[in-house]
Amino acid sequence: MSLSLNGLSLAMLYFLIAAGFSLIFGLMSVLNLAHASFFLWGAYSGLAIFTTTGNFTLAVIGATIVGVIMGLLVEYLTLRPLYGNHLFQILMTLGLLLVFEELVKLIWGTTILGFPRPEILTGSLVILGRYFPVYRLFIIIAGIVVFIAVYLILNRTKIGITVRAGVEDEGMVQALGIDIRKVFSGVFGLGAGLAALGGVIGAPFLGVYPELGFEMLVPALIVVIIGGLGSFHGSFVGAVIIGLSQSFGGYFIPEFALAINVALLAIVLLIKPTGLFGIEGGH
Amino acid sequence: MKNLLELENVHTYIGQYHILQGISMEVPEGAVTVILGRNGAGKTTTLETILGIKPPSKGTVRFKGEDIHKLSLHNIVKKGIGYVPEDKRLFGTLTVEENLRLAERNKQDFHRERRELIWDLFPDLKRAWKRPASTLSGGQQQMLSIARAMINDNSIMLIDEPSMGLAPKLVQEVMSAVEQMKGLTTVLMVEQNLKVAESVADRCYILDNGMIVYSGDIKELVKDEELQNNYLGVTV
Amino acid sequence: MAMNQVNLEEKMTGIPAALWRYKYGLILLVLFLIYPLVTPSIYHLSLLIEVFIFTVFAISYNLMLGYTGIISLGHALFFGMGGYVGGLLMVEADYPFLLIIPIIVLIAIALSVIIGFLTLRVRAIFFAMVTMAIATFFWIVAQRWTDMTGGDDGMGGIIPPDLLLPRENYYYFTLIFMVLAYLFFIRFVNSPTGRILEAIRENEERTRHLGYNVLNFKIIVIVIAGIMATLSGFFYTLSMRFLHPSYLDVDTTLDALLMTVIGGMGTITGPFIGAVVVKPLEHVMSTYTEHWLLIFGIIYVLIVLFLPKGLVPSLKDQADRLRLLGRKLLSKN
Repeated sequence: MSLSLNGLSLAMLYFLIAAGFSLIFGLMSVLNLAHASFFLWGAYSGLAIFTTTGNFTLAVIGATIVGVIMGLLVEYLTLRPLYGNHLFQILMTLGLLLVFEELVKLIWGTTILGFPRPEILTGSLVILGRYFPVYRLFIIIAGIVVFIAVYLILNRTKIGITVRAGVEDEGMVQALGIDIRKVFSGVFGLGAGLAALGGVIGAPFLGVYPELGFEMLVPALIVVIIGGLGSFHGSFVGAVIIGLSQSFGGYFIPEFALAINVALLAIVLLIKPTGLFGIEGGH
Repeated sequence: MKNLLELENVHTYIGQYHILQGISMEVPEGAVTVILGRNGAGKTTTLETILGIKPPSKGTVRFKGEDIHKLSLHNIVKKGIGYVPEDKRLFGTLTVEENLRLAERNKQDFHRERRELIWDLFPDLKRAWKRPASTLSGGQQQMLSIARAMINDNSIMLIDEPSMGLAPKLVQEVMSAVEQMKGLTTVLMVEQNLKVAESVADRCYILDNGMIVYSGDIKELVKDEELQNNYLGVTV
Repeated sequence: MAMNQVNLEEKMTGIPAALWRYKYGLILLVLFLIYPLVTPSIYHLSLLIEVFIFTVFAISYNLMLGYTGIISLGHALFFGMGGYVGGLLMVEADYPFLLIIPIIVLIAIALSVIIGFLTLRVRAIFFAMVTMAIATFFWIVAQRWTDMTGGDDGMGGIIPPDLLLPRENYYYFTLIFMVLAYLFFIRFVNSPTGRILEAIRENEERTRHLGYNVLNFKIIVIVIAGIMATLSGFFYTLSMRFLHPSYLDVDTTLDALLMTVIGGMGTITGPFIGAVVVKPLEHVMSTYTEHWLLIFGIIYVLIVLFLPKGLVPSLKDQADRLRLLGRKLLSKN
């Protein structure tokens, strides 16, 4: 039970990073490796705000805003000139991943920093005679809230419909008189914000260190392949599968938690290569 | 009659291929103009050039007296152009309603009115309102694609081969929709089938190898078998 | 003068023509051959050994990225696999050098075919993602399986066979390795297969419509690249006499990528130029600042953004333009 709770909280963090990653790929065909940097910078900027103000809510909001701004800048300055050239976009995002990690080392150093849990979120709850760490419940609830909110936006609002349509056929969206570039920027900013949010709420649970981004990137890659590139709810389901398997696998054979995920990945690629919820895109 | 859309000496390349080689065309307001021609003559490219999907390298495209060939696709469309592409290009995972909602650009009450009109024209779409577009039949998809262009108060509709791949009965249904549009808007339609074109068109152009080889009344063309033999390859 | 040169080149056929075509390469080769006789500095020899090995690693990357348009984000997987499997077989199982080579080559082939078949069949981008995931997986295994690999402390005592023990001998050995790799590389990209690869890079869809089995050609490329990277990793390990998880990490992949991008993607000279610029620069910069990777990262990002042909080819273009301008001015006078 505690294992599945642990797995679910990890899953929510994977979901927060994978959701934007997957949507950005689906919409603009950009494999944004720098997405993990938004998570990393969410954690560090959240920690910086928390240590100066002592206010966790402020840290969460501030870190998310940092993520959104970073996302908008990355999209506008480095990816926009390269639209239509997928190869160079990947090369670019890989370089950015490195630069953002090295910048963290330059500013905050290489040691692992602790992110103290805010007081209300410490301790455990007793439910049905079992103890549950409050912070893990908080992460799970936050993840679910974000999932529902984004799900409603995608399915109920015109912006959401535009994004889903763009994943299928961006050219036709433009032919309906919609400026797809604005949609690109918006999704990029939102996706980066979600990753940064994951970073700041994950930080007290995972610790804050420069390799954190890269360590989250690989499970996120596996999550989006399993869930289906471009599928939002796919990234949620994929994250839950990977979070749980990592948590259980890690419990029984600690060294090979990732091995289980790589095996899962191979199975999905063999049986359903487009992922569980993958769409055969028009691209 | 006033010209709503004018093309003047338009040249368009796709890669290194010179597809449109100096096309001039006039589309009078309120009429149905048809572009005829063989496969690969440049019919679809003409529509795509007007829309800015394949911008011309030379020449001007004038819409309501304004040069639009330097604008980007979405800005051109916003001037009041509805587009029904050749392969429909519906959003398969979106419902019929969402497909239409995505296309809406005008005032709310206008769209309510238009939805009623679309429901009258295509009752099938009303029945399938909440279904994903990918579950519709080929004919229904073509209707939705046309409806998507009708949902706005467009001054002109560019329709690319609406009869392609449809059974004769459905072609008739689609053509009666085009007929209905006559009262509402101007139509520029690409068609391969002369018989289908004849039923709705006022004027026609024939394209061959990226050049216009005939323009005039469609009734004249129907009588002129030699012209048909030379450029359409089939007689009626 | 320029006219005469053209005539001269046209007159020569066969071997002399080939020699003339690669005259700069040959001059360089002669210099490398006599170098150890001039300065027997162990440091410089070691640096050059590293350059030779990484040139081959960069060739393997260039074959995928530059010539076929396949992007791998985990090429370190092969480099590290060659190092670890080769090194461990040598230390733990006492396998002879000449037996290890076919073993790691076979593993490289199997690994490339499996990954290629699983991913490239679906979507090219999956190859990039899955190589990264698997490389990271092996990287973690190398870190955690301390009994076998020594973990983060690494593992020493991987000694080359007696013949290759002296530094000069190992230098010549890796020089030959690079020259052979280059000969193969030149022949391969100029072969009919090489032309098809370029066609795939330019327009995959069209190549498929022309009736070529694109998947098979791609798998051929990643198998060749995998073998080259594996051998590079093994020879690198023997040169360092040491194994470390960093051989498997993303920085090693970035090394290959950086060399390919700096030297010029899809060019013959690119891998060598990339290696000869990057490796010494890494050594020099790392003695001055611990943040040299940041500087490298920024340079890399700027190159991708502004000089997509690569740093050296772009500089060459500028030089050509200047030369042309100069000639024009002279002829006017």
